Amino acid sequence: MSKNGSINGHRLYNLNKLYEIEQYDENFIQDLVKLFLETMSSQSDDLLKYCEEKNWERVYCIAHKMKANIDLLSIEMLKNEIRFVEHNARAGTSLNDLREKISFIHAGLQEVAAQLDADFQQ
Amino acid sequence: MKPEPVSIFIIEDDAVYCSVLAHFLSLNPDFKVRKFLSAKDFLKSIYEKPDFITLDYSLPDATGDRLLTQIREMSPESEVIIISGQEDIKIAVDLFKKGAHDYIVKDHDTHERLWMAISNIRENIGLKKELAVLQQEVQKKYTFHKAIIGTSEPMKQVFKLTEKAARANITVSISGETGTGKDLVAKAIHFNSDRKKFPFVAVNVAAIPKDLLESELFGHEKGSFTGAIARRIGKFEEANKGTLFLDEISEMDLNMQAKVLRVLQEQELTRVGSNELIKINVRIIVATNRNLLEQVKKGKFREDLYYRLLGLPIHMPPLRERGNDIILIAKHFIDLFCSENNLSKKYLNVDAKKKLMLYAFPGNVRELKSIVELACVMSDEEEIKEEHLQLNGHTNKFTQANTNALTLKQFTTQLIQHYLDTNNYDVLKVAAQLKVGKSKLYRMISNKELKLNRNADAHNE
Repeated sequence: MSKNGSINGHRLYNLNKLYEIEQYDENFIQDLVKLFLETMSSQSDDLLKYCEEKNWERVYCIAHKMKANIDLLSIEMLKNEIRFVEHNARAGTSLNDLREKISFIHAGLQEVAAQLDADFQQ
Repeated sequence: MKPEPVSIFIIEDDAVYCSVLAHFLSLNPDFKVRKFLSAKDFLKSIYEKPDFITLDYSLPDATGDRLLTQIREMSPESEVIIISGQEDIKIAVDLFKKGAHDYIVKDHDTHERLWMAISNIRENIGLKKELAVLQQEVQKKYTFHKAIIGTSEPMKQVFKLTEKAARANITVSISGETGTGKDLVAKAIHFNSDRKKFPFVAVNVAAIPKDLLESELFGHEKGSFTGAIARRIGKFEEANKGTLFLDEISEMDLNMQAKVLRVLQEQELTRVGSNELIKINVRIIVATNRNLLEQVKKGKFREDLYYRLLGLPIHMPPLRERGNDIILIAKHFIDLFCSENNLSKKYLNVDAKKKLMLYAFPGNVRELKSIVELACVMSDEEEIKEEHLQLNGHTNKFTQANTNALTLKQFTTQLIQHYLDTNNYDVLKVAAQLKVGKSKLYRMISNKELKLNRNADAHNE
């Protein structure tokens, strides 16, 4: 099993930064991953829902929040995507592209969740 | 010294990020961290007034700037660090204006910057707390009635004048025998005046060599004399906006007196070796144990400076004229000495009190202090007895005489001797006080009925 998301095949996330910040406290990292799975899944669902409702204000707020956690887990493939959503939802630009991006982010996070689940299964 | 623990509240609605920050900061054992996921939760605990608050700018139930304003009102002592998802100079400037201490953008090293920011401010908080405690201590220490103990009539007069002096920005001259507490009065005036937040600088004129006094008071420039290796500000400048206390002013030589007079009149000085004029704003309090007016008459003190410094005169009465204050002060010193030395509480018995009341205290309060401290050491039990009080032989003979059977002549002689002893053997003054002819006193002295020396007196006993 790999807990840094990089050794065993291609991992979409990398926990090195987290290990560094939290001084390699395994128990805490486990708790944090659990917390991440809970919040990310609901945030990702909300993102999709508000996008359908064209509530760009809420889309911006949620994307803004998600950005910090995507950075924290070094989910490289979503870093630019979430910033694109955040920026354009706020500015009210490229709205037609947002739905596609948000679907991509949703799918990407589901994959990250599956990998984390597998890696952190007791 | 180990720093005090600091309390930190983290307000962050993102549970993951909140946990990361909280866990990271908790790695420092001195940081006591609590997490809040919403403004509402946090506001319930704001009364705890944490040392630090890290505040996420965009919360679901409040914006950062609104919450910041609330924090400033409800817990003004807390330092607020804003953590924001984006760099926005306008918002940051606005938050700084509203009293935020720092603005940190969420990125890869947020946690480290937060740690640094907290450590830095923490040092400041430590210093601020220390300062506040010290200021309170000083305030407490120099509240008139705590600083100076006494309920006798002469002391009531001193308190009255001291309070007047504290209210007005006037020069004060304090006179009184050595050990009567002239410095305490000076401090009490300063720490109860509008100048209390600025320095109180004390200079004992007699303790500084004549040649160095000018540079000590006015400062000097580098190289202005041998040994002036660096520029140095003087006591007048050090006391800027505060109070300069010149103790034993009568010991100042005439040349220096002229310079001080100029400074006081012009409210400006020049450092030794400099031409630059420096404005000063200092209140002057002077003290002396000599009669300045007599020094003026003898030509040892400048008349113009005397009148410049006289201001509000306060005379500190000698301890022997303060009646029951002797016992109050003795009790104060006994309690203080016992608590400082972890001794059980001690008290003076009736005979010991009587012995103190009969003593002339040439060294005044300073002498009383050393007498009772020694008594505390000498007595093995709670009671301090007469024999524990080691006086220096100058009992107040006149008072003692009351208890003895004496002839009228003996009584008169002892009365005059007592007045001579307590007035520095100033024959003219005693003659005036007792309304007797000075020639009578001179005659008694030449007949050796009166003595002009306490030691001779003690020797003869």
